[in-house]
Amino acid sequence: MTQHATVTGSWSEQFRRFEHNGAEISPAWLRDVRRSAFGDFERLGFPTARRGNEPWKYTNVRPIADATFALAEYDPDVSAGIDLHAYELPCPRVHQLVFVDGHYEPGLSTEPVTEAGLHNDVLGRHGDGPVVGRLADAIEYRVPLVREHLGRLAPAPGNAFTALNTAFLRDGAFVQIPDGTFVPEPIYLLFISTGAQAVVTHPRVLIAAGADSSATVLQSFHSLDGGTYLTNALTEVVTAPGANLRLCTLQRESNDAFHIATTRMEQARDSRIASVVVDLGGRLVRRETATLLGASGASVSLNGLYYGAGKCHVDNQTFVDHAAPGASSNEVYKGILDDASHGVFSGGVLVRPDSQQTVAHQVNKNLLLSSDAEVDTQPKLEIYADDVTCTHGAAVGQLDADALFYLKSRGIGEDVARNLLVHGFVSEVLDAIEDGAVRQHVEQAVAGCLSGSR
Amino acid sequence: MDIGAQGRAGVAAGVAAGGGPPPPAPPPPPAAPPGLSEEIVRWISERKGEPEWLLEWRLKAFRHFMDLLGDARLPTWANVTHPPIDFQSIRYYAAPKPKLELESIDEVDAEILKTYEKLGIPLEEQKRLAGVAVDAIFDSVSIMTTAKETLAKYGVIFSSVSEAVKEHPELIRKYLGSVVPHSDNFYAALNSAVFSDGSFVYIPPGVRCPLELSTYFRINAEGSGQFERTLIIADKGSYVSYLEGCSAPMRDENQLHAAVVELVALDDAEIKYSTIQNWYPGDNNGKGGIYNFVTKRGKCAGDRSRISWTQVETGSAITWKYPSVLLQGDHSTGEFYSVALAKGRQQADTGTKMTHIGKNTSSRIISKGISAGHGNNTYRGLVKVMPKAEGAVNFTQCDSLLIGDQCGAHTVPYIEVQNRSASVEHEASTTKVSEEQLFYCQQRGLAREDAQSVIVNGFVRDVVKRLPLEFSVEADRLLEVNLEGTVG
Repeated sequence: MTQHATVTGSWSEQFRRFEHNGAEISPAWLRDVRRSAFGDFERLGFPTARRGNEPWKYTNVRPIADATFALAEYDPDVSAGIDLHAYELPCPRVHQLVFVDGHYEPGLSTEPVTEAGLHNDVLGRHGDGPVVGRLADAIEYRVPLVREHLGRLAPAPGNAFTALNTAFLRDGAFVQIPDGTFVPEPIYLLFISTGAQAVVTHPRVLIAAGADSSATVLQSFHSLDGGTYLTNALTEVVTAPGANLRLCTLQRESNDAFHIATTRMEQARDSRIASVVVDLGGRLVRRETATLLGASGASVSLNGLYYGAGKCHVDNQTFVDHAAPGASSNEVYKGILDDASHGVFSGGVLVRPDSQQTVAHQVNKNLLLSSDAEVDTQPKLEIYADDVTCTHGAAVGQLDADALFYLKSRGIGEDVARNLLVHGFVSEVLDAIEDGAVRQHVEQAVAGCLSGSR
Repeated sequence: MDIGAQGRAGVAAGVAAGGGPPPPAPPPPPAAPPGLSEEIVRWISERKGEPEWLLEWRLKAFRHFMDLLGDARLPTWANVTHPPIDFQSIRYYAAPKPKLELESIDEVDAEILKTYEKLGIPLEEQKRLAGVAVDAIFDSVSIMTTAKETLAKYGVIFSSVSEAVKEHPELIRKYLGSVVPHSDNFYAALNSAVFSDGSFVYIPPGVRCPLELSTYFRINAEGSGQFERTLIIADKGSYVSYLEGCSAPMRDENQLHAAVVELVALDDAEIKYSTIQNWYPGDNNGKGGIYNFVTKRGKCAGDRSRISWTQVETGSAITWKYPSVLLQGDHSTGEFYSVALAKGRQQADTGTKMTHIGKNTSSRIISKGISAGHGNNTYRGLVKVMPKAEGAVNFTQCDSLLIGDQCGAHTVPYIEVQNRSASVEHEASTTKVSEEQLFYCQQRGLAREDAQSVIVNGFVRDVVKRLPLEFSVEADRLLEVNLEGTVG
């Protein structure tokens, strides 16, 4: 359970300095939360891959523990020079928040929600649209939801990286979809790392979907110029009954970057979450996605695509907690591992006692494109109710030789044929993105990544 | 414990191959005092008249075990709970109840016969079953072996390990611990230090063993841990089918059973190892019952060799067992077929490890778990394809059936692939016996309980049909008896 490793003194030093001058907004409760979270981090230390520590069996975060990262400073000049063109979504209207090295960048963000908007929310008078704003503002204007949910879904004591994120919590994105609201345009949270220095950012996102609301949220992580840095992202999602939320994450960090991402979701009655995560970059990626199906009728679909090249290590951990009867989950994760990359998948499904009429399906498929690539996959089902239908499957292999031969016999060149098959392999995951603009954007990123590697 | 000369029964004595005079009856006492120490290890070794190297081997394992115990490095990863085991309160060696030379089957303990009859396999019948040679082990000492002549004719060695140590030291020395080294795991270390006895089988090159070799184990003496050690060697081009079946009488005290089974298959050899395990599972509150912590592993050492494990696990309070295969030879094959039933308060954590090392190796895993009552059933398996294992193929299917809403079924497969030419497939499902199926059978005139039995039989068919015929019938009966009164 507890993972002790030496917590480098630099983190403590950094935390002290952060407490003194880094946090411009600091209600007392938040200071307490941070302080206790840092205490948790000091107690836990970075997890080690030593024997018996199952969740970290295949992933060694030693390179992160050994490195020193500075907290990123805000530099308006850098942000001004960024051309957002390459990251634009192909649709006329988006709600867009841009963070550069973890700092909110008003110049690049569209229609940021104003102070007044947040005040409206405090008074319970929503406009028609969603609240898409800075988490710092939401904290400052005492949006009740923030105090209620921040850190509740992702408690610091259980996980060192969560603790670290909470300890350095300063800003991030706050998304609130009012009850009964349908948001037609995507909500786009863009996190850009300049990579100029070895910095650490702790992006924090809180998403609250009201009753019978509907929205699409895309989180995107990009690097400008490569470089070694650490992104330690944490997302908390809470849904009210009947909410319908589409979440998408696109990760294109630099090939030397460390990316840790934790997503914790809690679902109310009849709510639905469709999540798609796409990992294309990073040197060491660890992504934990967990949802609590806390009431009947809740459903979740978790989809993932991970691509590894070079010496990339990409680790996806999912956990679905069926804590109520009549909930359903469906998981499809696919990996493509090239060069000397290493893919890891661990999918936990827990069906608690009395969670009858549960339906849980899970599939993990991996393509090994190189003889040096490695994949470790571990579905994990724990079932304590009897009236359930649960399945899981896992497969590891290379491109189907027969299919390749068929295409070639029809006059299609080897390269094109391989691309077609790989495209077919990934399309099952990408097709799960319901918003057309977001899907197109992600598909382009995936296509660029796959063709660039060949 | 009772005192008296332990008997190696007339029919059981001697070795198949060599013939030779029966070994002189060792002197009393028949049971070691409780506790584990270097003295006990020496006592066991001395009592069994073992050579110096074997004593050294035991002591090495003993020291390793004490190190592990001292560091409290007990395995905790399995999905089972039990009170801590006091390794000092266990009796590490016990001989069976007093029996002098047995002239015939009539002299066998009536109680023992009754147990067999409950299982539906009276010894008389066993003896008459022409295809089966029985080497029954009661509390660690062989008391019965049959069909020696037939085996001797083919040069097959089928004896207790203690006899083999005397008669065939070169084979024991070469192969003992070669598949499961003493440092393999906690309980393997314990077994290596204090193993009492077990079966030894050697099939000479090119011989297809004419009989299904079979051993019935039974735990008998109060508070005695049983530490079997089985070693089966199939030399080049040979074939053997080995059956192991177990039963235990009612008992209050938890009993630890930590056996080690090692199989070695050389070029073109095939070993088929079948188990029916029906030890006392404890009462309905989970009191009593056997702790079955077994290490079973086969090594496909030669090219084109094949090892197949088939098991039906219905007993024991806790089952902790992973029959594995090291696929070392090129084109070798490993198979694992398992039915595990957990009812009452039983906990089963079982599965397999398939390690692909050679080229073009293949493995197949079919696991069927049934959970009823408050039982918890876990499939835990590893399929590992090493970097040099070109062309490895694995297929895994593990299905769970749930009966009642208080039980649990868990699936924890690990798949580690380091070679891109591998093809690894895993599929699993967990469901209950559906109302539609039950209703269909009932409207055809079957009672609800019978209907369930029919459906369960169908569920386990893929595995049970792999068992030799006599075992297959017994397995069906065992499952039926065990599932009485559990209609969901």
